[in-house]
Amino acid sequence: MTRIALISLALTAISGCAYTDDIETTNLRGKVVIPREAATRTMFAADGTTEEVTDSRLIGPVYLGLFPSIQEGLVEYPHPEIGPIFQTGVPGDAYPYGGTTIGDFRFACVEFLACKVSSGRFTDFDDLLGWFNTRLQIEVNDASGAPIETGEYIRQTCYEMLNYTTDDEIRLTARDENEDGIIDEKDLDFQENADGDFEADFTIWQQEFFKDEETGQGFSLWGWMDSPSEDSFRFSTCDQNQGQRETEYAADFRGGRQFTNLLNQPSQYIGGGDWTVSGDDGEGNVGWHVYESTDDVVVIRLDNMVEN
Amino acid sequence: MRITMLSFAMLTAVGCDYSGDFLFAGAIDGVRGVDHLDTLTPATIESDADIDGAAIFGEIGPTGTAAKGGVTFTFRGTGDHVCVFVDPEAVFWNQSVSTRTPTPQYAYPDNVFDDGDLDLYAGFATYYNGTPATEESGGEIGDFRVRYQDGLQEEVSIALSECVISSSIDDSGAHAGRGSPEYCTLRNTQPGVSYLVLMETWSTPLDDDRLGYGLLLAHGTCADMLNAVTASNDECVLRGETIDPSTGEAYPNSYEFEDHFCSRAPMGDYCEAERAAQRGNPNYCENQHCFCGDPADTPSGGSF
Repeated sequence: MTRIALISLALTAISGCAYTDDIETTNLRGKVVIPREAATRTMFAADGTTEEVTDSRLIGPVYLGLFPSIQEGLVEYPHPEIGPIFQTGVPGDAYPYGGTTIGDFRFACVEFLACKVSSGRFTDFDDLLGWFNTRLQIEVNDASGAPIETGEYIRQTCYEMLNYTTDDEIRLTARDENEDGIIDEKDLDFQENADGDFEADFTIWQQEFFKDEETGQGFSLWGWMDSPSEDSFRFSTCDQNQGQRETEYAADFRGGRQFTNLLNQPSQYIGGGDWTVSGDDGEGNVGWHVYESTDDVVVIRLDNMVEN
Repeated sequence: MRITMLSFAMLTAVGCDYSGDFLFAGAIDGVRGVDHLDTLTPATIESDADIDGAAIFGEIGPTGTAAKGGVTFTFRGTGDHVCVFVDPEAVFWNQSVSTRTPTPQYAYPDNVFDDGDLDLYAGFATYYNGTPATEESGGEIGDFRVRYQDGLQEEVSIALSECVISSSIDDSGAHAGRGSPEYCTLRNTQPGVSYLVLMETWSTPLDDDRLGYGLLLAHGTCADMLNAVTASNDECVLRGETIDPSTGEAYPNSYEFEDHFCSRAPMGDYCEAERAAQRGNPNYCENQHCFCGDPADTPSGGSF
């Protein structure tokens, strides 16, 4: 009897000391839709005439963030609510709960391509080089200023600089995402849908869910797509002074990386030609998604082009 | 059996005490765990001769609980830059143990038991959420974080310390290590506005839990101040922060020790002399402070 009492007491004591952090995290999944217009530009054809080109390679990195709320009227497009402003000229912090990207800046191994290449947009190095040399008619040069004529040259430059032996390590070109045994357009982030728009899946890993206990309203998913500049095809969300540095022989450059406050102060980086979610259409429909639970089926459209 | 059960119940009850106080050093008589120096005035430091008159020395100890400890003071903004410089006891170096490329200056071991660490924070006094007072007056250490409630009623902590210390891996938020000076410049302070500086106790010396420190509050940037003095490195700007509890003054031999360190001569020269003095007088380290470690503790290859 005494032994049972002791064991019971010990078990009670142990359970009384158990500690739980009460943090529930889950992977939030959904889909981002980019309208066809966002992937369409007028370009020069080989014969010097102009033509309208629709191509998923015109889709820049997409940034998605979870915020307390989204408001209209702060800037010309719907924008996350912002916290206190402490310094003149510096926008308040949006204090995101989390987020993700579809497409990242990776070290592109030649200075010319720094801040001009997003992952998940090119099937291989020939595709990458052809996009610039042939489609955009922007000549890609190496460190000595000589034109690069084969994708293999970029690949071997990457292998040499990074001491890598596979394309997967470079993470610049597509992998066999759909596991069909070949790497082609079907392995890129964005795929054309039945409406002619482009869509991609996203996952926000291990996200803690926040909601207003009184209203039951959860956080809001908001985002934008950084369009490449018209002239240089450079992305404004890329910090050219950061990222991997290469200083061998004639090369002396940084590969670039995303600015660290893209979701904290997004208005500093969103400019003309970028695409965000839309505001209220007059019938109470908004482009961002307000979560009710982590089980929500989320499709978010970035169909509002920023004018200035 | 009843006694056994009662003892067990009491032990388990104690085991559920998560205050953690028992993990921290006990309070030291005569040394505050939380101290406040009131309002200081920035000094003008244009040469080595200005250091002595501007330096402030003191001691801080453990709070005796899990509560944070440290030293605070305030000053009025000058309309220009102001430098805060703190040098905690004493001098610390990593012993050089490489057999192939040794660093002779640091081949002798440091006394690792006499070093402490103070972390600097500073900003507008109005943003400070602690109670700047001595512990007997109810002083409590806080921080410069403002709590902001977002649209979902979640609390967001906003760091507003203006004491920005950069490192090779971080643009801000860095701190110097044990025994090492730490400083920052408060830029363009607003004239007449009250600023508060917090020197938070990160660790106290293992040997006596009394952490001496030297402090400078100076006009201009810290870079300006360091350019104006001849110190060979930051550790050599302030001397005498290792304080003898029996006199309240610096140990006389601490000046000699710091001078030797700042001369960049091998520390072994000083430490061998200190060791020889110990051999001649077993009570030497009780009357003087011993700054060097024991060579017998030098790790050998493959050991920790």
